[in-house]
Amino acid sequence: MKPIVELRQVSKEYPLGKLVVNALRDVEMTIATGEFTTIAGPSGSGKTTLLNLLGCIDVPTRGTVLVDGQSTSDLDDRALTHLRLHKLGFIFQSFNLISVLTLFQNVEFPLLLQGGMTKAERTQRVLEMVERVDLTPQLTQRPNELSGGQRQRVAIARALVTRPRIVLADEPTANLDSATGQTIIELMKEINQSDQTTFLFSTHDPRVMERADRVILLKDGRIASLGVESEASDSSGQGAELGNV
Amino acid sequence: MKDLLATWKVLVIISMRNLRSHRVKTLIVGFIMFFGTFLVVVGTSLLDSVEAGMTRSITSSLAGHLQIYSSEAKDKLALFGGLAFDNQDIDTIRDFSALKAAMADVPNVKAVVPLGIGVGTGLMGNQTDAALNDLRLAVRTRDAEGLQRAIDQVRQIAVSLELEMKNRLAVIETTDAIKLELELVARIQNDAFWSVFTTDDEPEAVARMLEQLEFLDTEIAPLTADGRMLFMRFFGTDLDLFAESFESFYIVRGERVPERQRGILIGDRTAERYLKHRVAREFDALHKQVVQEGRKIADSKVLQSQVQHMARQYNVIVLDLSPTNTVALTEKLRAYLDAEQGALLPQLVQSFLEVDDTTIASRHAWFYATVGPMIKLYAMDVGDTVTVRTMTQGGFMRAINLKVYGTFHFRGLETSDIAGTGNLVDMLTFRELYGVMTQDQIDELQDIRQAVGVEDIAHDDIEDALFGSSDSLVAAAVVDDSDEADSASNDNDNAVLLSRDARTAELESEVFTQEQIDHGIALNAAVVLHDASDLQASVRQVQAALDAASLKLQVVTWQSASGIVGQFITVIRLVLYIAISIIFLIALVIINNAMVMATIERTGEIGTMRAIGGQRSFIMTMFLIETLVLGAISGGLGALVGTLTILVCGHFGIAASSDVLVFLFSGPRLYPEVGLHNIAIAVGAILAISVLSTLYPARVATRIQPVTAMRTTE
Repeated sequence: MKPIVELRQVSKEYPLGKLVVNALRDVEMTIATGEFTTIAGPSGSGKTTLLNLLGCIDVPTRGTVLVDGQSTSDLDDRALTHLRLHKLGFIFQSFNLISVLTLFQNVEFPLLLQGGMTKAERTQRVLEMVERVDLTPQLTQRPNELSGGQRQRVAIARALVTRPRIVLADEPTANLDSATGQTIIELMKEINQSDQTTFLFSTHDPRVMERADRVILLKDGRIASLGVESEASDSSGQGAELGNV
Repeated sequence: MKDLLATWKVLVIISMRNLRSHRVKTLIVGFIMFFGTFLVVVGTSLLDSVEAGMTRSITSSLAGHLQIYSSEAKDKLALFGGLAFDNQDIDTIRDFSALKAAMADVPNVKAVVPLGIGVGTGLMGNQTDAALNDLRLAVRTRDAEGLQRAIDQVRQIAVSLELEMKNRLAVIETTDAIKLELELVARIQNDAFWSVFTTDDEPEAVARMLEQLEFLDTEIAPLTADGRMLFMRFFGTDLDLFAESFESFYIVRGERVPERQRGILIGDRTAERYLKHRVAREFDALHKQVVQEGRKIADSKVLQSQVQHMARQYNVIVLDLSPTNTVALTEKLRAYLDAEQGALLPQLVQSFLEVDDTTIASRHAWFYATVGPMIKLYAMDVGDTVTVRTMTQGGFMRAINLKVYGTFHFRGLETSDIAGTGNLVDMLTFRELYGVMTQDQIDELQDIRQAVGVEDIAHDDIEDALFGSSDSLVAAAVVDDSDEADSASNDNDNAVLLSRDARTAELESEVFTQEQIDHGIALNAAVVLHDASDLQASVRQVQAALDAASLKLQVVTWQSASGIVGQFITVIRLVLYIAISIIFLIALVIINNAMVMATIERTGEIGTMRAIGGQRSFIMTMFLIETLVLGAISGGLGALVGTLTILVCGHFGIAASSDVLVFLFSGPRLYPEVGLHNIAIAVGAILAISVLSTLYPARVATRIQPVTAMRTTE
C-alpha cells in the first residue's frame, strides 16, 4: 500500500522553563493508506505529541513529517490549516462540538469552511453521514441534549463529512463507558473497512487496541514497537508502568 | 455566494449565542452603543439645524456669504463684535468702486454691498425742543391748526414745569434762582404772550413772532431737562443695494430711505428697547410674561412689583399729553374704568395701569389704541431728526443730523438683540462720520483756503488741517447745523430761523449719484453669492479677482467674519465631539475588555475550530460579526430613537429661551431636521467603534493554537 503518512527522524522538544522536554526522539514510521492503527503508551510517552504532528497542528523540531507526500515543516499556518481542512478529520477525547449549533449544523460546519458546495450537496452529504452514525432522529438537537456516545458519533460524522484521507482520534473512548466505547470503535472500524479511510488513534484501552490492525507502542518519546496487535496488548500494561518515571 | 451566506449564517448564530450567554456585558455595551448613536444623531442634527439657522441669520441679514476687507488690517474682521469690541482696526477699502468693478467679473457673485461699522451717540432733542420745532415749523408754513397744537403743547409743558418748580421750592433753601425761573414760566402762561402768533404775513408780525420764539429758545428751553442720548452702533451701507441683497431685511414701521438719499433706519429692537415710552415698554414686558408665557400676576411677587412700578409712572403719561388730549383721555378713561365724574386723570391713569391677570390683555390693547396716539411712543420716532455724533478717525467730534425714515428688522430675528440693535445709515453719511470728506466739502475747503490764503495741504492731512486747526468755526459749518456760524455773518433773524430748517431740509433732500455712493471708502464689503454651497471655492475665485485687480484686499467666509458669534457653533460642535469621543472611548475600552474575557473563555472552542480547519481570518470574522451585530442592533435602535426625537422636536419646535438662542435658531423656535447623513455618521461611527474595539481581542483569538483543542475538556 502507498504510505499516507511518513515520519523521518522526527524529534519534538518543548521548552519547560530552563529545561527542554524531549517529547519525541528520532521517530521513524510509516502509515499506509487504509490502516486502522492505534498508538499506545503510558501517559507522557508522547502519544498526543505524535498525533499533533500527524494532525498538522504542530510541526517537528527536527526531522520530516510527510502527510500525503507533503512535508509539514514547509507549510505556513494558512497552508497547514488548509491541509487539515481538506485531508484530515479530528475526533477529540471531549467531543468538542460547538454547543450553540444543532447536530446538523455541527456536521455541516467543516463543509462550510471548505466551501464550494451547493446547499443541496451539503445537505445530502450531512444527511448521509448522520444516517451512518445512526442519529437521524436527533438532527435538530443541540449537543447538550445528546448522550456522550451520541455526541462522539456526531464528532465522528463531523470528522468524516469532508471525506478526509486520515482520521485522527485522541483517546476517542476515554470519556465513554466501555460498552459505548466499544460501539464507537466498531463504527470507526466499519467506516475504515468500507471507505478505506486511514484511522490513527491513541488509547489506553486494551479492548480498543484489540480491534486495531496495528499497535504502535511509544515509550519515553521513542518507538518501543511498531509491531502487531498481540505484541501491543502484551506490552501495554508494562508500558504504562514504565511510563510513570 | 451561497456558501458565504451559509457561513455567515453560522457565524451569526454563534455570535448571537455569545451575546445571549453574556447578557450583562451585552446590555452594558449595548446601552453605551445605543446612547452614543442616539447622541450623535440628536447632537449632529441639532447642530446642523442650528448652523443652518445661524447661516440664514447671518448671511441673509448683514454678512452675506463672504466678507472683503483690507489685507493690511491689524485686527480680524468681527461683524458682531469680537474680543476688541468695536475698537477693531480693520483698515479701509480705499475705493469701493474698484472693488465693485473687480467683482463684476466673478460669475458667482450676485452682489457686493459696501459696509462700514461705526459707533456714536444719537442725540434726541428734549420735549421742549420738539415742541418749539413744531411751533417754528407752523410759523414758517403759516399752518393755523399746527400753530394752535404747538402752542397748546408748549403751554402744557409750562404747566408741568411750574408744578415741578413749586415742588423744588418747597424743599430747597436757596430759592432766588427758582423764583426767577418761575417768573419766566409765568410769562408764557399768559395768553397775551401767545396772541402774537398768527398766520399773518406782515413783516412786523413775523418779527414779533420771532422775538417770542427767541425768548422760548433761549429762556424756556434750557429750563427743561436735557434731551436723551443714545449709544448707537451703526452700519453704513448702500441702503438701496442692502435692501435688495439681504432678503430677510424688512421695514417694520415707516419706509425705506428714499433712493440715494441721506437718512437713518433704526433697528426695531433698538426702538423697542431703548427708545420706547417707559410705560409702554413696561406694559409690553408684563403683557409678554402674562399673555404669551402664561405666568400669573396673582402668583408672582415679581410680576406684582412690576405692575406697581408701572402704575407709579402715571405722571410720565399725564405730563406728555396736550391739553386737548388731557381732556379727551380723562373722559375716555372715566368711561373705560366706569369711574365717577370727579375722578382726576392721574388717579385714572394709575388705576388703569394697575392691571391684573384678567384685565391685562384688554388694557394693553386699549393702551395702544387710545393712549398710544396721544403720547410720544418713541423718543426717536419715524419722521424725527436725530443728531448722530461720532469721533472720527482723526479724533474729532463729528455730528450729522439725519432723518429717521423707518425702523427695520431681519425676518425671523425679531426678538433677537444681536441682530436688531444695529442701525443703518447711508454710505455718504457714514464716510463723513468716519472722517472722510465729500467732494462738496473739499470744494468748500478749497474756497476757504483761497479766501484766507492757506498753502497746499497733503490729501491725508486734510482732516487734520480742517478740524485740527483752531478755526473750529469752519468745522461746525461743515456738518453741524450750528446757528452761530451763520449768524456771525448774517444779522437777519428771519433768515437764521429759516436757514436752520432749510439747511436740514436741503441735507435731507439731497440726492446722490450712484457714482458718489460707490466712489469712496468702505470698511468692509459683503458679498452675496448665487450659489453658496462651496464657500472655499468662492473665496478662492473672489481672492483671485481681487489680486488680479491689484487690490490689497482679503476675502473671508461669513463664519470667520462673524467673530465670536461665528465661532460659537464651532465651540459647541467641539464640546459635542469631545463628549461623544469620551463616550466612544469608554465603549471602546469596555467592549475590548469584554471581548478579551470572552476570548479566554472560548479558547477551547476556537482551538477546535482552528483544528478542524478554520483559518485565522474566520476567527477574526467571527469576532467582528459579534460586535458588529451588537453595534448594528443597539446602534440601529439608538439611531431610531434619536431620529424619532428629532422628528418630534421638528414637529413641535424647540423654544428659544434666550436672545442668543433666537439668533442661533434664526427665529423664536428651532425646528430641527434629521438628515440621512446624521444617521449615517452615527451608525458608521458606532460600527467603526465596534470593529476597532474588537481588533485586539480578535487578534488574541487568532493566536490561539489548534493544539488547545486537544486539551479541552467539556
